[in-house]
Amino acid sequence: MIWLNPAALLALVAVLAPIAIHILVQRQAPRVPFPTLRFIKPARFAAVRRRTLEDLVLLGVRVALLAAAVAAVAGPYLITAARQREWAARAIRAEAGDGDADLRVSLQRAVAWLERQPPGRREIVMRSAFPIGSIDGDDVRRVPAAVGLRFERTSPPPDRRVVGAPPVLERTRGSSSLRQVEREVTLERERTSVRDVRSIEVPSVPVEIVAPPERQAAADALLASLLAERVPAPASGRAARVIFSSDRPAAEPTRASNPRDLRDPRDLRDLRDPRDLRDLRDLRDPRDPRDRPDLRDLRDPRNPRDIQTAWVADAAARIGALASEWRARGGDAGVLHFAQTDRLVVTTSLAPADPFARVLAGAVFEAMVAAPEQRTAEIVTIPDEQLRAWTRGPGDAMAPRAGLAERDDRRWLWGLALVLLGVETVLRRSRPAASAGSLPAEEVSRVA
Amino acid sequence: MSLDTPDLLGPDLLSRVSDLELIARIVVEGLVSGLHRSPFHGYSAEFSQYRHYRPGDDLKYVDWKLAARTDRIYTKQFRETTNMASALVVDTSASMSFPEGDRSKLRHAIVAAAALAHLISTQGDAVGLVTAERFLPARGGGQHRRALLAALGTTRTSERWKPAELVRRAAERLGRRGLLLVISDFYDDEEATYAELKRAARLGHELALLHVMSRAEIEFPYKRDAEFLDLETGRTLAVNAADARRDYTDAVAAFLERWRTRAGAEGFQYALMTTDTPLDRSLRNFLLARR
Repeated sequence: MIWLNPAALLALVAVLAPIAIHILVQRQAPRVPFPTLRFIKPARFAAVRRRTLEDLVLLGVRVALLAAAVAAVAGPYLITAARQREWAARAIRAEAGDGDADLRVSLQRAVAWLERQPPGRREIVMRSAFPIGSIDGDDVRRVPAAVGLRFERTSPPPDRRVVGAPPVLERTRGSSSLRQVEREVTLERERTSVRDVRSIEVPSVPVEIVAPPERQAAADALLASLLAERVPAPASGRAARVIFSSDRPAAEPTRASNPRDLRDPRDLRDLRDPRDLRDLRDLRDPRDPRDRPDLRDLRDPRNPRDIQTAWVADAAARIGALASEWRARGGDAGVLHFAQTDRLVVTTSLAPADPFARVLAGAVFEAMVAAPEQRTAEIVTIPDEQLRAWTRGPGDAMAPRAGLAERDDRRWLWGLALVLLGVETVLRRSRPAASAGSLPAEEVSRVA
Repeated sequence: MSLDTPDLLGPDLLSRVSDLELIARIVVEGLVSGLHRSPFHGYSAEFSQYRHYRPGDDLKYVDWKLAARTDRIYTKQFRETTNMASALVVDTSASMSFPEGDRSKLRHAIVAAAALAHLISTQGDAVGLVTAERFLPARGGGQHRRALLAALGTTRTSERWKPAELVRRAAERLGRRGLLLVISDFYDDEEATYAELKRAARLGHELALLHVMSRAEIEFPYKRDAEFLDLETGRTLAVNAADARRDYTDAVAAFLERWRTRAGAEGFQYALMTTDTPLDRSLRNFLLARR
């Protein structure tokens, strides 16, 4: 037997109430001074004993009544052989595919849907081309063992597929013009190739690197070196400013504008939470005087530019993680602060010539890229051997949880409770009336 | 109504008793001839009535002619006018303190005794008081009456209450034939008390028993389980009152009937006084029964 609502069993403590009442009532038998006991037959002691026994029966009935009611609320469910046979004969199948969502998400949805179903043998049928990466062993292990898994491969992907790749920026040596190169990726079974499709000239670099006057030249050189080696082109509407401050503030661990250290990857996930975006406004004491107007704007909550965007948070998290990794390997990542004005603002205490400065600037470019949708691009599939290894039959039917049983056994206990209520009423009414209302006034006071 | 003053009984109560012309039935011998007619049945030339012969009666007053006709022996009684000596024996046992408060049996008995004492004394007769703690010999006069009422006012329950001994003492101290008024619940030493009452009657005293009971003692109105505490012995008894009521009321009724029968057989005047009955009504009934 299982309980569909086991928390209700805590109410069993309520059976203490009638026990306490009976004990208290027993102790409240009044002592009545009386002129003489010569006319009261001592044999009536037996009556008291009989009453005690009657009270015990009444107490037992009341306790049983409460226990039956509590058990009924707790939802008993008898697992009988007939029910088990019925469950075993029932197959509940969920189908998961990658038509409108990621295959991994579809699998999780199917598991959740099966959890809400009545008892039965459960199975998930996954239909997909199963490109590599669409599902892995961890996803399979997260499926409850009692849920069977079956994989049905749909039409295989084409042998060759061409998809767009993120554009890059480049400035060829000896030229002052900046060009954005569009690229495409060709996916084949044995080979993946990238080629430039066309290039267009862009007026300015979306990433501005500023530094104190004595360091501005080094900063410009840093930007030039990056562009000479191609950097990812930021998505449309995205811009950033990297500020090399003139002096080094007090040493602090790298922070993404909030107190949490980004060395822990879990913090990165937290930063992607849009609720943390507000933390990114904090730009502490920038050394670059040119940035001060932006600072004031940032601190005004009414400034519409303070509205944060997800890509800024994501970029800050990625750059912060990179700094943490750099520091973990013994490098000096300086002190980083992030903010958002109309663009991503990154301040660093490092000099433009510092080794990490180039890494930082490159990471800013990469963080501004809009990741292309490549969920359906992969043409290499998970091998059939692996799918067969993951395949398993449905296990035994699981016992129902609260709210999922078609019919429970509460009715029997409610019926028992009603019967006990009737017995309790009969017992209670069969007792002599205990009212003192008919006593003379002085006797009432004495008995009370 | 206070017991601490001579006005204890109050004019209202006394006037109502006087309206019933009970004075003549209390006084045996009046100081003023013609004013009182004493109900005390002495031995004078004026024939009063017959009564059953009791051992100790003077045989010269046996009506032998009547005995010949009826095969029963009667003694002739004669009315005489003389002063009466009376003694009030008031039960002060612990059982008299029931119910608690101003309506206890003891309080009822004290007020009744005070009323009777006042009546007797104001008619010029001698009245005395016997309790467990106090003994006042029968005397007349206002000063003695005030002392008696004061003694009644300070009467409390006592563990020294021995009814048989006190009845004997009161009967012996009366000296001549008098009236012995016993106000009690008659719980204690029932047989011994009855024997002493009979002995007092043989001494020539007239006896009047005022049996004081509370309504709760008679009807036993309790319904719950209760632990009853004996006020005299301190013993406790746990019973279900509802279950015990029938046997209890039967036993109490038998107890009361036993005393009534015994009193009738011995020629005692017997009156049951319940504490819920107004005292003047009880006294009126008592005195009317003496007519």
